[in-house]
Amino acid sequence: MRFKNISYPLLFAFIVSLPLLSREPYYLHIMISIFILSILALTLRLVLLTGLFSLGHAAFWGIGAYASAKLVMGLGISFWAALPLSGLVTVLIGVLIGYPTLRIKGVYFALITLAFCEIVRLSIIHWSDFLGGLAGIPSIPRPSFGPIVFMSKVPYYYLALALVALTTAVMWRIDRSRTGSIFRAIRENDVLAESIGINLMKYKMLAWMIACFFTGIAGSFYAHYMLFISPEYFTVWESIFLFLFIIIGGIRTIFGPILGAALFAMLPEFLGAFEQWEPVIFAVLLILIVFFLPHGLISLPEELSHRYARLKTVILQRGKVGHGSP
Amino acid sequence: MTLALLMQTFINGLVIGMNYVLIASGFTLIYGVMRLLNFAHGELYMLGSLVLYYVMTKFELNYFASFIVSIAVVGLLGVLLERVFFRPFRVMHDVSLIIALGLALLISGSAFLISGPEDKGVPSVFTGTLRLGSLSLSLERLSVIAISALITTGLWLFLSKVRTGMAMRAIAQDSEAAALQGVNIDHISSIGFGLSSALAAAAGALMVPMYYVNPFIGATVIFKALVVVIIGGLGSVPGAAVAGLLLGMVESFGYTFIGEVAELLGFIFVLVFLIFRPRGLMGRY
Repeated sequence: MRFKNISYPLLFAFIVSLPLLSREPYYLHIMISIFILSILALTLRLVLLTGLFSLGHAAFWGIGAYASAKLVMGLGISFWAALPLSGLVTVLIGVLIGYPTLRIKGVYFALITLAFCEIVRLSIIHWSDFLGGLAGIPSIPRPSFGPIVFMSKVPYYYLALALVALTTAVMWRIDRSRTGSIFRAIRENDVLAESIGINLMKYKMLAWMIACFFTGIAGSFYAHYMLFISPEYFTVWESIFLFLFIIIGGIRTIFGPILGAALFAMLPEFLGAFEQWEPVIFAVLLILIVFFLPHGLISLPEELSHRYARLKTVILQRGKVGHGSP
Repeated sequence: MTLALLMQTFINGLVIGMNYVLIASGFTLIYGVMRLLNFAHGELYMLGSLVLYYVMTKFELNYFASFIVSIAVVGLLGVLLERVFFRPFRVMHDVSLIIALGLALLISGSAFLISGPEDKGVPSVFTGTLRLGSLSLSLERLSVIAISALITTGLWLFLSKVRTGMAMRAIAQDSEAAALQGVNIDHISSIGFGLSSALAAAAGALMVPMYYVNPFIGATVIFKALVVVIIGGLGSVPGAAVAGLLLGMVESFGYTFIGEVAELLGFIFVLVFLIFRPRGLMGRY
């Protein structure tokens, strides 16, 4: 029986039953972080896969978080309505910024996303009456189901799991669909894609909007989970770290970014007292990946098996040459 | 609004502006030669400051000797970085950017581990003021402006009159044609990176007596460098000079007379610039 066929269902069963096995809030928190970062990673991957070099992704996460907080606290809307609404608000702002900028290519687009991310952060700080400024927005209400309020981490865990499962499913379908192929075609060579009739703007905008929607939802969850948000959570550096972690994980497949997100969430925990080594270790890992495993850590089994196969071939060949033909 | 205030704001604008010119010149030079947004540039600035601090305090050299040591050390480091990390991926621009980001983190993280998070400073070199009628201008600031101007002039001369400098401009214009003309791209890229790093280090070292240094200043520096080269035009050193001074002045007058919101307005301006004139004022690539 193939390893994959047993391990994936086992892993899935483990993840689903984790809160039943351990009520320890710490572990649940790590897993929830992994789920949310995975959503961000998957959406950023979608954007990158279309050839849009985005280094400001955390801005949309922030927009979703702030939108949700203001909708629930300012307009009294229930969290369950605010969740998709925040996604829509994020899409709206995404479209506003995307319309003039998605046609711009390469490095200039990256710079635009950086500038946009800073503008979002500075706007939040400046608009302090409405958005809390540097002090942030405290006491964000927890989600509730009628009388049941999300008091422990367990309901949050399942909600986050549902959200990341949904996002993964959507990304999976996109990858396998014609639309996904079109996205990849645009990344590969947009001039060629356009020459066969692909409307670049339409597809770039589509990828962008999908990414914004799910990122906004992740932001909404985050706001009502952390119960406090501040502009310092959504800086350009967060965006850059997110980007780098999915490079480490690998962008080609769905699981690469998830692995990257898991690393992003767990690295500080692994290091414990050596926390100050985090940037250095992260940087060394990144550089090693770029040099030796360009398709990311997720491709490690594949690379190793390739090398093993090549090694086997070499050994067999050597054997034949050395002893003369019969 | 007194003359004294205006003059001080102007002088500050010049100090900041010339600093930006030095930083951005190196940054844009690398972009021209290697088409790389060197995100590690800010960290090289920080290293310039840090090396100066350590040489002055541990080896007790005077400021000028320490300055020379600092730019030499960081310049050589730049050459090394290009050879080891950037040369293998020179044609792959996206990958090079990722490597630059990684190096930036590596350098700032290591600096943090080695030297700790506290601010460090050195005493002023030129104390005293210059009196012009009713105005008193800090000699420190004036000397920084003068030294920066000197270095910038030197850079300009190098790029326009010296063969190696002209080779860099040639590579920036069209690297294939330059190679066909006999320019050794490997060689010149290394020198270019070294020069760029030395410029960043100089900028950093000049600022230490007036401000402080800690391992985190690189992040702000790279931001400023990006803004300046966006406005000046990627790849254009004269553009970087003009935009650097412009930004310095705008910042100085903006903060003095408008306050906090100046930063936000600045970024909106940059965004608009990127959308409507990504080439910047003088950029060509």
